[in-house]
Amino acid sequence: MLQETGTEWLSQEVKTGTTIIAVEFDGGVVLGSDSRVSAGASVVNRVMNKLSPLHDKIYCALSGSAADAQTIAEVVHYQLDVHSIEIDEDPQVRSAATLVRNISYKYKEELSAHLIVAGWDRRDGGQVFATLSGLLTRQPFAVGGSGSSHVYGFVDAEFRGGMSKEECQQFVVNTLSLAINRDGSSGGVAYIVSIDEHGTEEKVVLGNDLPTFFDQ
Amino acid sequence: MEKRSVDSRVRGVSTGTTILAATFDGGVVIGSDSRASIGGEYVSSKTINKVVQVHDQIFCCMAGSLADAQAVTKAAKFHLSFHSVQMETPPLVIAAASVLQELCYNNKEELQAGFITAGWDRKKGPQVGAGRGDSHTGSRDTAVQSNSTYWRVAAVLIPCVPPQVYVVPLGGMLVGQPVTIGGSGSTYIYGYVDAKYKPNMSREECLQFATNALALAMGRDNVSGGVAHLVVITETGVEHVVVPGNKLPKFHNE
Repeated sequence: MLQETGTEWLSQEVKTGTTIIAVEFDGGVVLGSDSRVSAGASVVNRVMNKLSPLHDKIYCALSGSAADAQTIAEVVHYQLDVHSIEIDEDPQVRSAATLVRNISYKYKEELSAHLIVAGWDRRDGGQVFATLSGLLTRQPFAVGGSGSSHVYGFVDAEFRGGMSKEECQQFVVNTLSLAINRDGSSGGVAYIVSIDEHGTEEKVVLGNDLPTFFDQ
Repeated sequence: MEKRSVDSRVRGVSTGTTILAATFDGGVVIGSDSRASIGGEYVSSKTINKVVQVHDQIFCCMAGSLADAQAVTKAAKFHLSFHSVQMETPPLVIAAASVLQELCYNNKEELQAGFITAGWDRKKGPQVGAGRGDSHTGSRDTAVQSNSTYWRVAAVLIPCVPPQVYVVPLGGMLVGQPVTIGGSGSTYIYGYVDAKYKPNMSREECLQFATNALALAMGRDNVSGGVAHLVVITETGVEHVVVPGNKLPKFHNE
């Protein structure tokens, strides 16, 4: 028999069981995420934007425990602000990723959050960094969150280097849609952020506008 | 992602695995990887064939505990051959799936078995089914690997009708689907299968699709690997295709 789930959400930790993805293209990056926040079996927020700005052209994607991830993002946002004033120019993506990594590594026993850091800087162009468990690695693309395991096959097969910005955006939307279909902890709308030399563009793709596949 | 028990004394040799079956225009393709491991730490066989014949043109795919899978396969073989003698005709796919379903359901405490039954019979054509022994009973086939889960893929070929695939999940429900995947490696290719499978593909397209899906799953799942065993079942017969590891398709990160 199914248990009564009425008050579960009061006692369960709030997690962003989620799907997040960041992809590099020639000239920038595209980040994407779903919008579901769950506490146990309840969805406590169906429209949360998990793409959090760390600086004008550097964003991070949150997954894992909602509180931990948000806190890391806020702390790093502050540290990057200070850092960019000190060096008197825009910070590098690698610096932002390093700051995130430092916190994730130092407090790895206490925290359970994984942030993917992506952005554009003048020196190295578009970059994507994964910071899982306190490592720091630059990758052409990164996926994370509970929904990511279902789409490893798809991203392995479909990713190619040298995509254009529009192709990247389509790739991100397709991946999110497939993960949302299969992962119970991912859902809602898709948030897409595209960052390049000219600026940052935020977009929302509503649930019924997401791509559909043969079984839908 | 689910944790897997690593107590090899209790679990014995298991086939953490990837198996799939898909219908195309005129037949079915069923396939699996070839790795058998103990607790995910030691590969006990690199070349085990998990595609087992249970009738003239019926094949099963194994996943989960090898011992259990072999025992159930033997029982199913016996039942099906007896059934076909009684009926004086090769068994229908759904009959093969039902045999497996009964075995799963009646022994569900000891077994945690799921089946993918793929085949072709006179009545309904190509079919794919999966049987699984867990509490998931959604209409989508979600192959969750738990301790000693096994998958059977039975392909029944009977001339004149398109092939079919049935799914018998753990617990013993029976569902028919055009394509189904199972085993521990299947979690990584749900997105790929959803995106790339199309009904009524050609034989070559379906074979390529199945090979790609197995290669992608083997690339990400540490308890799947080795060669890809594929069996193509059509009206005219059964064909085995083995794709060795070094001939598997490579993707951007290899």
